[in-house]
Amino acid sequence: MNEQQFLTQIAVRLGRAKPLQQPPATMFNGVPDSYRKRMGQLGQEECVQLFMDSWTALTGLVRVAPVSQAAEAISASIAELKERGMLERVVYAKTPELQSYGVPQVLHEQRLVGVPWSESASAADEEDAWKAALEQLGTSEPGEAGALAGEKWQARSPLLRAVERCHLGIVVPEAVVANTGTLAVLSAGAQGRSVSLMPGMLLAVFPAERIVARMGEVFERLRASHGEMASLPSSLNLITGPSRSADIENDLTIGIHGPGIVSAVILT
Amino acid sequence: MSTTSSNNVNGGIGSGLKQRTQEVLQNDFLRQAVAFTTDKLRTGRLSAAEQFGDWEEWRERGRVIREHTIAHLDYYLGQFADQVRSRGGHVHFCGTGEDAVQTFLRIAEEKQAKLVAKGKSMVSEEMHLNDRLKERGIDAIETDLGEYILQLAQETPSHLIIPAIHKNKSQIAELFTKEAGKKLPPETKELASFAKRKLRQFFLEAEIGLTGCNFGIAESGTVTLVSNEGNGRMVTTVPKTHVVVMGMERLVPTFEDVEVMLNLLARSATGQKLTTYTSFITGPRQEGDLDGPEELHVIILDNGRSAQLGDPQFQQVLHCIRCAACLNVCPVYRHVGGHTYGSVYSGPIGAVLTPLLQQDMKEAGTLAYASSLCGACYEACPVKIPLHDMLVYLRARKVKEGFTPSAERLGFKMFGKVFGNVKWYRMAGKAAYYGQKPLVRDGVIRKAPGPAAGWTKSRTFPAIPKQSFRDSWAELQRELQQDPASREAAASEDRGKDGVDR
Repeated sequence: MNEQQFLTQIAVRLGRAKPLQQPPATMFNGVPDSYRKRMGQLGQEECVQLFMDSWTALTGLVRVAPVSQAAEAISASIAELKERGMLERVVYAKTPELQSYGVPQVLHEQRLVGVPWSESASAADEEDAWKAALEQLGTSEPGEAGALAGEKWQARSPLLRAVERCHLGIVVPEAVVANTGTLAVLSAGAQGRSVSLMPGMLLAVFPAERIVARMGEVFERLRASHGEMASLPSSLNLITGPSRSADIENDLTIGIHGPGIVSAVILT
Repeated sequence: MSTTSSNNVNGGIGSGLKQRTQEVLQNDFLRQAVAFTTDKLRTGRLSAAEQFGDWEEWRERGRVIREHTIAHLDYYLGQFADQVRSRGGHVHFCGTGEDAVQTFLRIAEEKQAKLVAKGKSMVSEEMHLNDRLKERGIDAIETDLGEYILQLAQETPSHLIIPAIHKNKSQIAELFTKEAGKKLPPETKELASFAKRKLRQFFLEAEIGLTGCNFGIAESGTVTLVSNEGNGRMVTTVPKTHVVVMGMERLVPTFEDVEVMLNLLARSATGQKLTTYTSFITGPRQEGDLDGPEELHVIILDNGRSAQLGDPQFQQVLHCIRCAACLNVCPVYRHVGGHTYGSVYSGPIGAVLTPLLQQDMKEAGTLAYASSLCGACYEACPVKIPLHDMLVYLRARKVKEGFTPSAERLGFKMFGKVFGNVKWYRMAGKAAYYGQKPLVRDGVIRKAPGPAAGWTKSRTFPAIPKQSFRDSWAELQRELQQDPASREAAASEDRGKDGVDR
């Protein structure tokens, strides 16, 4: 059955001879007005507080610092994560913003291997440099799953294989939702989908102005910045706390496929 | 009727229903586990709805969005498909499950795929896709933890959200031990960590990632996926090809509308404010992206759905967002679990959807009787689908199509005759009064004959009184004309007789 037949069949069932070509008028636009109004009344400070409450309720870690002390705050948050589990290798979005917060230097100071998410990092010579750095740290073994996976995986890009071995991913969310404790992370170019997914820990760094009250405001911002969604990147993820499952006897397990420990640094 | 991969479906959907029910009622673990989990989910939903506030307003908004979308599905599907293509994706329209299987096989062949990593997809269960891939030597691995457990056990999901609701830790440990080749203890943490390591290998090696679609956003051709574990993200990040299989009704017009649906879905399904991961996937990876699939295919499936359009009784079944809230409140589901329904979809929504999608009233239509018509499903539904009404319409349809037992048809014919005629009715009442005599002890019947035996198995049946209500009516009318005080006195005297408030 081709598309035309498929759509015509639907149209006929709905009482039209052929598929509707003009957008139908709608009597609604998203969330109830009372909710839109109520959430719209929240000020910046209230939003920051609401995000922190929602985020910590999901076991998220959080730190607030003035933007002038971004590097110190990131460093303190990383130190906190080190206490939670093995942390030697870090992948981070190679965006000017994260650079400006001093992420590469912080990683260096903390004697961590930093993998920037970039084309050059996927070149073979970069991989050699990375290998050398690992050997220095005495942790040159590949990730467990990566080692067990067959040649199909070995043929994938060095960058992807490197991320699989990282313990922490650092991202800059596009926006943050206060009432659900949610990071809205766009993935494109210098910030890959894997960065906020493959490592066992996640750190998000963002200025307080990125925090909005509800999900719909994220979409409003994206409409404005991405041509009414026409130029939206191929991947937008809303991340609300750590990866979890209750599939074994309803017992909550944290950190199944995605990061089990999530942390945020809010810059004011 | 299609074949089924399940080894726990005995007999046909309808003809095996009784036997499956008998069997499951013997399984105490299952019943307790289902009751425990559904209770927890139901309580979570109620408190999440309460906390959120204005829940009825949200439900109504959800209903209106779904109603509008389905009523203009031709437009929104066309728009969605155009948008997917404009972002570099491929769209395939498939009328039947078989068409969809063939389409998927063509893609798999072209990619020379040997391994498919699957996110949770009920539509692929509808297609019985795993079995069909296996025939071609392609492994399809379920990566949702619950689904993975069931795949190892060679079973099918018994709940929409918690597919392995009926499995306990020891059973899971046994399955995983076999897979690991070493002894694993029945501890959640260890079992989960084994699954995590094992499944990651599959994510890394799979040529194709397969997912369903929770909501397709028409304005941008975006596929929205929700998952708590993150497997939905894994299969749409690592494999080079991403194939989406979606029911054709799974659309909303805009991002603004998806905000409503996501709020309703998470709260209704698990009581969370939002599912951990909500992924909006718009086309394959773009120029300059260093991960994500190079190719995106969207398979849009009808499989009996379009037959519901334009049907005033059933069109609304297409509004469903698969949250499983109706399962969690259903007194029948709670006792028998999902497998008893013998179909991919269980609970109240399954009892309605299965006969409609399969367009089979004879076997699948029997599921309409696996309900008490209490309406709890409607109360719980975040988009207000009147499932209890649909269950009645389905029962009527089954009668109309002549698929009810001849004894039942005869019974109801007589019932109609007797109740439609005063003389017959009066005579039947008298006959019943005298006929029951050998069965009555102390004013009740403890063991009734024939079709009434089911009732008296766990309850008593009150004996038919000598004087019927109709007989007493003349006297009652006189009493009603008396003044209120003496009527009250007469009533209390009446209560005093046997201590029962009549």
